[in-house]
Amino acid sequence: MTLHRLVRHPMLWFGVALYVFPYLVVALGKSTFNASEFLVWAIFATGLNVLWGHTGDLSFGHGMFFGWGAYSAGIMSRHVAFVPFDLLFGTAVAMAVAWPLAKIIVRRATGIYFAMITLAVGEMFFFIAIRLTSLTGGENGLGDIRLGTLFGIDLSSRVTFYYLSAWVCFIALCVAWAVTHSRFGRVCKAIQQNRGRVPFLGFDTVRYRERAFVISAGLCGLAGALAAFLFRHVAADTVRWTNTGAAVLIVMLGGVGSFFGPAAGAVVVKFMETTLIPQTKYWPAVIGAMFAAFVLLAPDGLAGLAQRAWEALRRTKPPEEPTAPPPAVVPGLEQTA
Amino acid sequence: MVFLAAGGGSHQLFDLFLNGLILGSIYVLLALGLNVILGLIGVINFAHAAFYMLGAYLTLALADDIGFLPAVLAAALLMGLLGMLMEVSLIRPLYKRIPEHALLLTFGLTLVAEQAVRWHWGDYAVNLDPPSFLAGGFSPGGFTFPAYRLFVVGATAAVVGAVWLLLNRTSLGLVIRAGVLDAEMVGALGINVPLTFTLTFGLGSLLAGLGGAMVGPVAGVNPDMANAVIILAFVVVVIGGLGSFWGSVVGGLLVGVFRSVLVYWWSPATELVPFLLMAGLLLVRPRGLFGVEGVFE
Repeated sequence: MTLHRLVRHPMLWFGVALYVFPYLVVALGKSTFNASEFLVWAIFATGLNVLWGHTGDLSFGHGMFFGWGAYSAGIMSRHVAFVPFDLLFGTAVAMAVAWPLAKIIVRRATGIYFAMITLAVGEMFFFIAIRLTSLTGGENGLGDIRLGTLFGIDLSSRVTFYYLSAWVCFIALCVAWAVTHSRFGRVCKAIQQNRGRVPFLGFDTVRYRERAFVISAGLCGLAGALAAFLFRHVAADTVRWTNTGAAVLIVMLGGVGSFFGPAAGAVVVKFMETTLIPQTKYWPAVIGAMFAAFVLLAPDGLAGLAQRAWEALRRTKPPEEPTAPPPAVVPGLEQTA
Repeated sequence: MVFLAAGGGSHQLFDLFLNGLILGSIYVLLALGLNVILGLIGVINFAHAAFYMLGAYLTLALADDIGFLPAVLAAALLMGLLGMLMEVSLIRPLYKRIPEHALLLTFGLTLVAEQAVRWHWGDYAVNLDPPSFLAGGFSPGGFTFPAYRLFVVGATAAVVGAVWLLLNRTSLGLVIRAGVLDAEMVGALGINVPLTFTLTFGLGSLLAGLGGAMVGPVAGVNPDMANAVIILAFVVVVIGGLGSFWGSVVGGLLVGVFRSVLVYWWSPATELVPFLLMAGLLLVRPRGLFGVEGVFE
């Protein structure tokens, strides 16, 4: 990759944004802790989007992978107090659980049927999690999560933890970028657009959807593992379907299928949430109503709105070239379906 | 929702079985409504459980003023009306889009409905007494039959029968069933298909409202009841088969009875059994008990 292309690469600018982000969050009256929390949700939403936004399979059960990542990283931290290892362990466990589930579910269900079945399977794991009290702490949740130090750096401060979150988020989104911008990602996109035709091109759609399911589960698991260290506690509700619902809402609001949309949606929704919680205890109604309005009026989410605004802006320019080229330079937005 | 009775052995088992039938009746009503809407319109109504919850709360609010049975009827009818209103105003614009959008929209509305209930009725659970004429029970041979529970089972059976007759013996039912097969062709024959969709949505919502209206005296009323029951309604629909009438009925009773009776041997089963049933069935028969292969897959 030449230097020129590297400088133009959206992920580089995303990395720069991650450095500026906490200052912005603090300037807007939130804490660095909130900034880390937003990044956790950005990873979760991006992970869900790798499946939903690219193959079109709407999973209402990815909260279970978030939960698997959180529980296993939390438990592992008691034995190996080395955060990168624990995070990887959480991711690996989530993927290991996802693989057989993908084998069972993906072949048998698509569309709303897929959503219903993943929802039910996720809820099953919720009940298993609250029953395995000795392992998960049951309804009280899992405590005693050890953060330790990383190469001599104390992670218990909010600022150092933010830098950890930023790195994890950067790596996670790089992985998601690599996956979605590869040949694999393009086949997934084709599956979303016309599931019936792709097999005629010689691709085994089930296999691609299964892999997307597992990769997406891994990213959600990583988000869960990071959340376990951020909150130093894993609540049983993280596995419940309401948690998945929150992620689904964020992805939809950000823009299904756009690359940075879900991450932006995570920041916007969680920012609203932290602002609304002290104001009214009925805040979910506000978020729910906003979400319903987006589904009705702007189903391509914030990313779609941004793209339309960008196109409108380009059209108002002097009419030297009446047929403006498609705005492919907007990173990640060009694929909004 | 476990009602352990005093006494042991076969009497306890019988009580559990009866409880299972009641739970099952409620699931039947919920799943039937969900399935009727899914079968005709191809929409999964996430707000279905919100109608169920609102039906329960409306009964609670109205029972003191107009009496229990009128309150149940009023709650069910109001939920039917609300469902029709929702279909016309919010769901109809989404028919041209992928079915997931209706699922997501109704999911958002569920969040709003839950908070509205918390705001108006409070965060706590409320117990509702059965009406005085259904309060007692009779116990031939030592087996207890609480009158209210028998009423729930009987009313469900009557409603299921009425819905079956409506769908299979009336011209409206004929239009609905034809709409499932080919809505465009039915429209070409001069039938007002959008109106049929609205009526079907109303019928489904009415069934959910009725289930909620009757569940109060059995399990109490609380703002989390919608979240807790929607998954079970989905599971019942998947077990019974998407779009299958008798599938919903058998699936609902099966889940209710299994859930209740297995407590006798293994108490964690209460929550897990519906999912284990679903998972097992999914492995051997993905379309559900009575589902038609290829529909909604």
